[in-house]
Amino acid sequence: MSDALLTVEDLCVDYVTERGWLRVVDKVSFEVQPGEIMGLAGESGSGKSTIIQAILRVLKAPGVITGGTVRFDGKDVLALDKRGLRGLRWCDISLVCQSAMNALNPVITIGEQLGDAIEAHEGVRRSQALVRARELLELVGIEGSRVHAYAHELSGGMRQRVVIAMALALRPRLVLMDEPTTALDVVVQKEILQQIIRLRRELGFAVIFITHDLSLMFELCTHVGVLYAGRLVEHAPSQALFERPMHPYTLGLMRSFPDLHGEGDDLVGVPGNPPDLWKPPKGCRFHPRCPQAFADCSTRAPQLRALVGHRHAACHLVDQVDQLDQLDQLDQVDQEESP
Amino acid sequence: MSSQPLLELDQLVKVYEGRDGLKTTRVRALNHVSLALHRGEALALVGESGSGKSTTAKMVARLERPTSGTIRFDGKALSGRVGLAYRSRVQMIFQDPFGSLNPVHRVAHHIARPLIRHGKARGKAEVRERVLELLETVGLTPAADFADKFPHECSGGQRQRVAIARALAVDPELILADEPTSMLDVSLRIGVLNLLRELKRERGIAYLFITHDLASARYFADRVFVMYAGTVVECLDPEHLGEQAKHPYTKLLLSAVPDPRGGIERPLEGASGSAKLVDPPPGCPFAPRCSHAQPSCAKALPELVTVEGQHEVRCPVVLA
Repeated sequence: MSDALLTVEDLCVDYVTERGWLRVVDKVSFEVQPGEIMGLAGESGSGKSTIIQAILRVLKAPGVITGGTVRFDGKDVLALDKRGLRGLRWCDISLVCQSAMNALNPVITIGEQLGDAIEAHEGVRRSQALVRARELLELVGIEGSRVHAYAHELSGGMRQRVVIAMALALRPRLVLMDEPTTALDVVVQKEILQQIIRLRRELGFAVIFITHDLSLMFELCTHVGVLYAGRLVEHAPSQALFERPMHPYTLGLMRSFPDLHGEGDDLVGVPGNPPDLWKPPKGCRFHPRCPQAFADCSTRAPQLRALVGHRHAACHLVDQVDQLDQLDQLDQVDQEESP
Repeated sequence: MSSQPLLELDQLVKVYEGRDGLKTTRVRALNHVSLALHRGEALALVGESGSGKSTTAKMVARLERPTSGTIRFDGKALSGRVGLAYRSRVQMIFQDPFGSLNPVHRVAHHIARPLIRHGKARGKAEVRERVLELLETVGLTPAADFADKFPHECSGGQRQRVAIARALAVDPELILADEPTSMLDVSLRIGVLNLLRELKRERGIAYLFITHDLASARYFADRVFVMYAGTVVECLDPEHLGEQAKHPYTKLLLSAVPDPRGGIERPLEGASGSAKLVDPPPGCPFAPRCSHAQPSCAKALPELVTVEGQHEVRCPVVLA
């Protein structure tokens, strides 16, 4: 066994509908090491939020976990009963969700809301819980006296900080963040992300971070996984992936966002549209949009394969390249990267 | 550039009146905004929420009236209600492709409506033909299939293309694009931006492009106007956005843009905060947040000064 904090293996999630079962997450495997920031990238419908919800077992109907395992610190998460889940959620793994700023209760003060979670899980007294609430606010850069404020008295960025404080209340070892800064202005976004980095260094938690903003993902995350139509197509250390993406889809994504520096070359993006999961393309699900597709791609699905430098990619092209040759190339790249 | 501008905003001010209990509050959304947009030119308005960029577009679309100042289109000042003729020359594309199409109507209906209303096509057959043509122009092929789809059967990118086709139906000279790609998936965004660029090249359409994303402004626009609290603080050539920006607010924005090469810990050149739009104080609106602020900044709004060519900056302190 490895010493990974979280191990997801062959995770499958289906939506059970009247039309039949729809596979939205298909055999996804990855690991998160303690203290790592793992990013999940992909288009809408690629399954990134669903994976996060499955890890915490908060999938809403019609989503059902239909296969695979999720292990947190050796515990089999999918086998936990209600009580076990109570001990896992918030204490070990917490969640900052997409519209978290609107998740605060408008009629009680933020101090009471923070205090509630602490009181319920740590069994401390109310007065102690409130003291902790104050500390938590200060941790995320809000004055302690704001415990008496109501949600509407705070700006969007402050509310988001409160939600992050809440997620950190019980010192979890893994925080799941689903587009936590999407609705915020760039300056506020950067401040919050810097705070997350600082807190992670102080408290040592790991993060799974979802965003559609690839620049942000490469900037923030230590590792990045790229999802396409419910499957993980590439997984690698983030700077290595940025320098040299292996999967044509990752490459397409990277050619999709304009840059502030360098030549203003014409960008091509990824042609076509995301697939209909009801009738996913045979073989590699990306092949209808792939500029480098060949005969094999439409018949055989490539497997996610481990490559050098902790990289993984699921593409026949990567398989095809003479393995020794590929190792040489990658080694060179890695050497150039490390000064 | 010597010709008459297509669109000219002259000292545009917009004040919204609100109520706070018994008191009347005045929110100043636009503060003496002036700009000129030439035929076939793309001009980007960039800024955070509350900077007045969408308000500017609403004024031009005539969805709102300015409190003072003039809007001239093709040399004529707008006054009173604008007629169909204006609407056939100026069109708008909105941010939310899910909200801007009627879910109970097929794609063809959305595009046929402006065609009929503006008399661009007559009779069922001709309308249908034009609809299919427009769908092909925006890259929705096979057009006949898309024409009979409902909005919910299209992806976000496809819906935004329908909205573009609808705007194109009347052969506009100016398109107001309010964050046209910010709700789309990354891989589809660039396709929509490229389509808009192509239309600009081929048909000479001018754009007022509103975005909070400096990188897409740089990619799409010929000139970038950076706005803060209803005021244009800097106007510059997008190509050198990163290197030539001078205004402290532009620099703050630039330092906040995520850099894929890493650098999350590189310090911000300033801090977040919000401008006082309600009963705003005189002077530079950015002064309370600005690290370069001098006592004089709070007294009067500085002038927009030309640095060189088309680069203008509203900050005497950094220019001194």
